[in-house]
This record gives sequence, structure tokens and C-alpha cells, in this order.
Amino acid sequence: MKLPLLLFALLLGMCVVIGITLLSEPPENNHGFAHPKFADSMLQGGDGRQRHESIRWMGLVYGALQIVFFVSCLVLGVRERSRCRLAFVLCGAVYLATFCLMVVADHFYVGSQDPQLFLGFPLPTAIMLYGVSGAPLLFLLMYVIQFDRWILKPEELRRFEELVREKRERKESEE
Amino acid sequence: MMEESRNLIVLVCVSLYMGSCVLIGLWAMRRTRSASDFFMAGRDLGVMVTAMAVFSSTLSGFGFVGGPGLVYRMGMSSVWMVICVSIGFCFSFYLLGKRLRLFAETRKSVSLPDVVAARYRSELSRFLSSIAIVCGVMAYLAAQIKAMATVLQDLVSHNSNIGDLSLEQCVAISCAVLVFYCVTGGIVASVYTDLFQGMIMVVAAILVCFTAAGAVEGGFPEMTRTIMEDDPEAIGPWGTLGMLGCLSWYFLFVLGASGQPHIITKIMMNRRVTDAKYILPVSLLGYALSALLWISIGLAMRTLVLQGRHPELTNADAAAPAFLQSYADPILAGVVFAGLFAAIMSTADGFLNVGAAAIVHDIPRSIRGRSLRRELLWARVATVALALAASAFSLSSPDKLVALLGTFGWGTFAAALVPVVAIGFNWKRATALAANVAIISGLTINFGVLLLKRQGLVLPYSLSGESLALLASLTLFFLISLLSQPQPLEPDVEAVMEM
Repeated sequence: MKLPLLLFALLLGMCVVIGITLLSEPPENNHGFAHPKFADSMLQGGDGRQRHESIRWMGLVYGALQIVFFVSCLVLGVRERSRCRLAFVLCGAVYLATFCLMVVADHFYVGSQDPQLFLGFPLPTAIMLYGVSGAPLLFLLMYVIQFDRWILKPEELRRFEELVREKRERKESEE
Repeated sequence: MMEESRNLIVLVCVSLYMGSCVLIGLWAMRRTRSASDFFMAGRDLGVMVTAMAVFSSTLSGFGFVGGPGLVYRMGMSSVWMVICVSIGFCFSFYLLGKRLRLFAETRKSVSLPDVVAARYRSELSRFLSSIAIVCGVMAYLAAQIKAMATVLQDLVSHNSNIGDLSLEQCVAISCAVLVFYCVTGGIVASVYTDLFQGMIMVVAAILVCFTAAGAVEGGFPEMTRTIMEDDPEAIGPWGTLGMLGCLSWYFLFVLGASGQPHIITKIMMNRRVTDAKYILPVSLLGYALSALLWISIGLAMRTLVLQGRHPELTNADAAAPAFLQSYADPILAGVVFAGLFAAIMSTADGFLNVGAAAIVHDIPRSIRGRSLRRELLWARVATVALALAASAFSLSSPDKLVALLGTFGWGTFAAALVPVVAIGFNWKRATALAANVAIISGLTINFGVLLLKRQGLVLPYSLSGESLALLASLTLFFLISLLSQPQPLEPDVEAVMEM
């Protein structure tokens, strides 16, 4: 499948998820409520299991489609797509797996009586802060390390500079 | 003694910062001799300057004031706007880091609509993208000016030596400094003040993070435990907003950065295209460090209020000022308040520059086929006019509308420009028709949602209306491009797109 078609299919998938969400009946407490004691400035989320029960799968699919879309878009900016495909698939899989792990951890967190802290936060929050935020750094590393091979080859840059010089000379001779 | 003079120390720090911006403006004036210098800094910026300009333009006053307020109000929900930057910056640099710089080089472009017109061979695309930029700039700039004036007024009101200043006077003072360095030095002043402002933001955020940890006995683990006892969802990954609301923000903020003209035009200004590989990690590191302030103040203030050690805030946006006034050392408070002005001004100066470029360069070119004569002079006039118009707009609009307009600005840029720029510059089959439809649909849906929200519309699950507009414009862009005939490209544009 060509990359733009894949991107279009992913967008359509997201449209379907959002469409189903908009048409479904939301639970009573679907976006929090005023804090009973500090009502003017603070919100509470309430029972996480109750408000997420009907949409957890939908949210998982929506998030997963987003991640695949982001990673596929990155490939759009790469020169040698066939050579780097494996690296992007592997890094994308790590990113996606981290997100799924967070959703699963959250599922157990909302039902837990005594949640343990990991690096100062509940486990799903820690996965979000350090994992979902950190996994894309793999793409940053690839950009920095492979820039001269995957993004812009030195010989291409020289060819481009030649093109710009020719264009400038042509313009000057016309003037 | 220090505590007694707290407000005076803060005002001195802010005044020193403002004075430094004026000096940078005067220095930059000598380096600004043409419209290309004014809008593009002669495409001669080094790695550090470009990197700091990119990150400080991304983190606006919203991040320094609104961010902690959102964490205080809804727990971890707004942190999705922060954690998105790792993939968001990668997205912008993979898709635009090389391409935009090469387009700017080959076409001697001085603005984003210049590049859009070259890519799509369409003056209508240039016109529509310029209109989108002017709409977004007016909305966003008004919100920044209002935020700046409100903070200044709050600072002055705590100081008995000066007496009360009206909001109009505060707008005049803060705008005068901003306009001075933008008019005299153009983008050169803007990016060098960004460098200075970025450094202040990083230092301020690191110091505040340690102060926040010290303000609550037991540090961050104790904050977590206190918030969790009150409401486990608030400290869970979705906060009080819920899963779908957070994910819609994630979508908007990951993709949205690559449509913000005041950020991505900075990528066109670096000296060498290969510098992009160094600019990405430096700007990401700067943002990540500065964002510590966002999370730490919000969590600390929520904890302190829940523990009964601080009275409830009158509104969530007071979280950062209240924390600094009550818990930070006076000198640190001064540095952070200067950092706050830095965050606001570093974004606002970028807006003034891209807005002026759209008005004096792009809109006339799309209508008359050429830009104005004496472009540099008119660029300076347009900068002043834009600042005045945005100031008047911010003063005459209700507070709630201004806050909504701030979000509308980001959403407008994202929905209207991400498909056209980020995708269209990397996909040869994308057509001018698709680009024009994406811009119009992005603007229309965003504006429609804004109006409906004013009428009381609440989307289920707190889905962001701006993210829906972005999803719609992206889908339409792909659909129309796939259905329409591919257009031939100019040889130099095709050469850049094949690289």
C-alpha cells in the first residue's frame, strides 16, 4: 500500500472512531465535575472505571491510530524509505506498545484500592510521563544520527547548491 | 528585609528584562537593512539562536500561566500538551526541517505564504494562507497582550510605591517594549530576544521545580499521595478531563506545531540546512526543561490547597502568580516573572513578524502580483498597526472570549496550515485545490465551533473542537488530492521535493 493511501485510511479510521463517539450516549460524568469542596477553581474526575468503561476500547483504537499516523508521517519526510522502513517499524512498535501498556495499566489502576507509586507517580501516569513522552526520542536519535543518509545526502545537497547557482546566474544574465 | 521588598525586587527584575529587550532591539536595528533581513534575518542564524527561538516561540504565556492553572484545575489532563512535544518536534523537523529551508533558499522566500504559492503554483493559495495567518495572529496576539497586561497590573498593584495602573496603561507599557524591538530590529531582534528569553525561561523553570518540591513536605511523592487520596483520577494519566478529551488534545498539539507560522518560519532562517539535525535536540531539551514549571507549580498548588495550607484560588490561572508570591524566594520570583514576560513576548514578537509579512508582502502579491514598494518601511508600519489593533481587540473583548480566541488561534493555524504545509510539502500529488479547500474548511469549522461554544455547546467527552477541525481538513486534503489530477510542478520545486 502506498504511504499517502495508508495515511488517508488512518484518517478515515479516526473519523469513524470520533463519529461513533459523537453519536453514542456519553456516561453522566464523562468530563469531570466541580470539586465538592473547592468548586470555584478545581475539578474532580470521579469514578474512572464508570466513566471510561464504555469508551476504553474506543480510546485505545483512537490513540493507536494516531500513533501509527504520526510515525507514517515521519516516513513521508524521509529520503530512502525502503532502507529505513525496518527502523521506523521497530521504533513505532515500541511507541505503540508503550501507549497500550499505559492504557492497560490505567485499567488496573482505576480498580486498585492501594496503588503503588513508580518514580513518584501511579504506574500509568509514570508510563505516560516517561514512556509515551520518551519513546519518540528514538525518532529524534535517528534524525540526528542518520540525517546525512536518510534525510539529506551530501551529494544531493551539492546538486541542490549547483541548481540554485545556475538559477541565480540565469536570472542575472536575463537582467 | 528581602520579604518586605519582594514586590520591588520583582519589578526591578522585570524592568531589567524589559530594558535588555530594548537594548537588543537597538543592536538589531543596525543589522536590519532590507525586507529579507526584517522577515528572515538574512537566513543566517546559528544553531543555538534558531533552536532557542523555536522552543521559546512554542512555549507562550499560555504555558507559563495557563499551564500550571490547568494542572491545578484538572490534574494531569493538560500534561498531554507537554508530553506531545517529543513527537511533535520530530514531526515538524522530519517534514519541514529540510524542505522549508530548501524552498526558502531556492525561491528567496521571506514568508510562509511565499513558499505555499511556489509549491502549489497558486496565488489563491498564497492569499488564503495569508488570510489564515492574519486571522490566527489577531486572535492569538490579543490573548498574549491581555495576559501580559494582566500580569503587569497584578505586579504593580502589590507595590504601594507606584500606585494602581489601569489595564489600558499596562497594555500600553508592555506593548511599547514589544513593538519597539520588533519595529527597530524586525526578526533579528525577535530571534535574539528569543535566545535571551529562552535562557531566562529555562533557568526560571529549573529553579521553580526545586522550589515546588520543597514547598510540600515529602516532595513530589507526597503531592501524588495527597492528590490521589482526594481523587485518584486527577493524578491518573487522563486527569479529570477523561481519555478521549486528552487524546484529542494530543492529536491537536502533536500535529499543530508544524502549522504554527511563528514557529516554522524560524526553521527557514538557519544558516545551513544541515543545522536542522542539531536544532531539533537543542530546542526539544529547552522546551522539556521549561515545561517543568508547568507541571511542578500546578501539582504543588493543588496539593497545598487540598492540604489546607493555602486558601482556594479565586481562579485556576492564579496558580503560578500565587505560588511565586507565597512560596518563592523574592529574587527567584523576580526571575520567574521576567521568564513569564519572556514567554509571552517571545511568542508575540513572532506573531507580529509573520502578521506584518502577510499584510505587506503576501496579500498585495496575491492581489497585484507584486509586493509593496519600500517594503521595509511598510513592514514597520504594519507591525505597529497590528499591535495597536490586537491591543484594542483584547481590551474591548470579554475575558472569556479572549481565552477562547487564544485556543482558536492555535487551532486555526493547525487546521488551516498543517495539511497544506506539513503534508503538501512532502507529497507531490497534493494539489492547489486540496490546499485551498483545507484552508477554507479549517477556518470555517474552527470559527463555527467557536461560535457554537459561545452559544453553550459542550462536545461530549471534552473532545477538542480544534482537533475535529484539523482531522476534517486533513481528511479533505487527502481525499481531494487523490481524486484530482496531479499538477505539474516548477522544475526547482520538483527538485526540492525529490530530495
